[in-house]
Amino acid sequence: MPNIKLQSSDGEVFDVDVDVAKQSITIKTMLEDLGMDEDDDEAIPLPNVNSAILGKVLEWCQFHKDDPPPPEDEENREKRTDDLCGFDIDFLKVDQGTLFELILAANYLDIKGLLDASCKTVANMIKGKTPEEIRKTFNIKNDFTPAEEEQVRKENSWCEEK
Amino acid sequence: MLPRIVAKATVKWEKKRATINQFACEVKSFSSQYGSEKSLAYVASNLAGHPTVYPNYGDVTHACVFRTYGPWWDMAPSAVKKFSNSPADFHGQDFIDIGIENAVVPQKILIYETFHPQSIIQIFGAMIPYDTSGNCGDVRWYELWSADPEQESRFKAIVFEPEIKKISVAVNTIRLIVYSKHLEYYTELDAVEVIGTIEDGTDLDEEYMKRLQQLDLNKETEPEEVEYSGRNYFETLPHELISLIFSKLDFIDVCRAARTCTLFRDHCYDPLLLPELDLQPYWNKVTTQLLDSLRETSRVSQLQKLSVSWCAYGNNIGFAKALAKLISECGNELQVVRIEGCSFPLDDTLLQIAANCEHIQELNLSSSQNVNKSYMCISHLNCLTRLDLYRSCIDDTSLIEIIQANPGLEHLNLGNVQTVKDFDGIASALGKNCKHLKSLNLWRAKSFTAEGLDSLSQNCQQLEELDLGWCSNIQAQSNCFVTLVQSCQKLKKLFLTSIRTTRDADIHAVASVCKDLEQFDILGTNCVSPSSVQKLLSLCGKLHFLDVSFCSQISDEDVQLWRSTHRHVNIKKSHTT
Repeated sequence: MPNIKLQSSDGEVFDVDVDVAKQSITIKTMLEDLGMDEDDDEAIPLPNVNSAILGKVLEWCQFHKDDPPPPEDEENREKRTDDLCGFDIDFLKVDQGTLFELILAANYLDIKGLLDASCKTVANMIKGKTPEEIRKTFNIKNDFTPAEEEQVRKENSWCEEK
Repeated sequence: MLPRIVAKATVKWEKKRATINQFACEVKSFSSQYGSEKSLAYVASNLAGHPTVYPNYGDVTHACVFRTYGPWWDMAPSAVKKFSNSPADFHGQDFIDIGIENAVVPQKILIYETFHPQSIIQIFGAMIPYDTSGNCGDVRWYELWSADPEQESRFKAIVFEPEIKKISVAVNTIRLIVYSKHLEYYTELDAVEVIGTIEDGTDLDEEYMKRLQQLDLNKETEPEEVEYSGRNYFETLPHELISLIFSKLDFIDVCRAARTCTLFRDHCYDPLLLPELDLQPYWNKVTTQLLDSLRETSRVSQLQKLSVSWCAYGNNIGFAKALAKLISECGNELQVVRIEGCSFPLDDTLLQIAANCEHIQELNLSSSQNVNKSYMCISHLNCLTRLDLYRSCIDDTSLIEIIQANPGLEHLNLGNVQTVKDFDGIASALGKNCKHLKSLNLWRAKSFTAEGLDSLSQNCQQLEELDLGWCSNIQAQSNCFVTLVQSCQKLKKLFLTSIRTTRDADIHAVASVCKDLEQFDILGTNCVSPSSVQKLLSLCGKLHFLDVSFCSQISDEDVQLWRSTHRHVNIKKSHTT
């Protein structure tokens, strides 16, 4: 299998299988646009991803390299969040800093499957929680004025447990 | 309509508490039934009163039966998709509300299930005022019991006694939520028994007030402000990624998240977040205030699909007005509107839909009967592809106008409609206007005859699904079924339930022409021989559902043999005991 080199923002170079790297649409497009081929010794710079995150991203791509392409049709894709595969669930059991960095990296590198799985993981952390529990989970400061808070409570009071 | 008191309660006093043992005295509303509105056979109202079938097991006319069962409905051409953001854990397919004579704090609920049991997945209770006007505003429902759908089938009569949650208020109305996709045949319910206590005097009300006060106190003691030391990583994400995360939340979680902070509120109120809103899974929580708030905050100004099915109890005029207002202000983009099993007046809503929602493609009003002369305004719409009027009160004139205005109609459900006088006239209008018709449900269309069927056959050759169950005035001798299958060769589902005159010649025609046939029902025909069914089984390779119940010439042995030689076909043969 031909390999290519990817360089993280902090200068680390990763030697990876082309097919693994090409799950990133960003990298795939770069390869095509720049006419780079496997023999090139030059590393592709990825200035938005540090080595720790790039390492994780490539681990995810390695596992999913034989997946069928994701459905094109957005309309027919269910927004279910309970359909994550076992690997993704374990893979995304990371601290929040890493999880949110993975979301940013998946978005920048345009890796649909990883973006989807990481966003679903965050959504699952919100599901079923009260506003106060959500604040605790994500260290969110309640920045409503008392009047605003009362207003937004009223507007959403239907889902309170009475 | 006055409640039919058919069951007297047994009361036992003990100190100041009485335990009351009572059966449902009436069926208040429901989402579907197998039987005809005017009949007593297989209708929802059979759930009222003492058990009349139990302990017997079998298919019995005086049980309560719903319209569907099994997975086949979802596989038919007329199958309807859930909205893409409907919560995955909502499984309800049908509901039925029963009333009890004496309001009680429920201790036990017993459900007598006498055919294909284990269909109940949720039970709710509510106190509905005995006011005769029927407008009781927003009702507070208590969830008494809930479980995931069963997968296993059982074949005996049972008294189902779920362990219900303890509540401290009295209820007089019980709603059962039914799921039947896992069942081999129709589920039949015989009776519901409610055992509960009633306190002597006004203790209950006082206790209720106390509880309410406690709740208010609890609210005040909620922690006001807490400082967190950790980082809020949402602040590192760009707008579109936060939106992407929120798009994966159910509506109820979106509403809770909105109360977290201004950043979340702004995302949750972004109209682009909610192109589809399915309120049916939250029917027990949805209030008039929610509809008003959705409108006032403009959260739903880009709404394309809306369902309020099962929401609002009884003649809730406030809810009806709020819905009409919501549609008038936020309905411009609406393509799909579902209002199933609702009892509030629909006239204002229909007028607003006609005036504001020119893009409506799907309108579902099944089992919602509170319409006073406003059906005609649906004919202002002209790009309908799907119209569900099951158990509605549509009249001939309005229906014909609607058909003429919507030549693109593909799916029309007129099942159990009692108010249409001349179904042949409807069929003729469909033949003239709707050449693309794919599915048509005429279940129990009494006035439909071979003449009407001929106009469909000649003109609607794209038909893939036709339900003629209980259209007992069709005379097969006229050759109308042969003509039908010869012109409509794309048929995948054909129900000739209880059309007694169906002959071998008809089965032969179906067998030799309908290569795509998947579902076929000839329940109750006397003139069909085993050999023609045998031919059908051999020639229709895609067939996966066949109902030959109560066909006098077809024996259990025939069915046993076919089941072993055609394993991919689900062959149904019901029995009475």
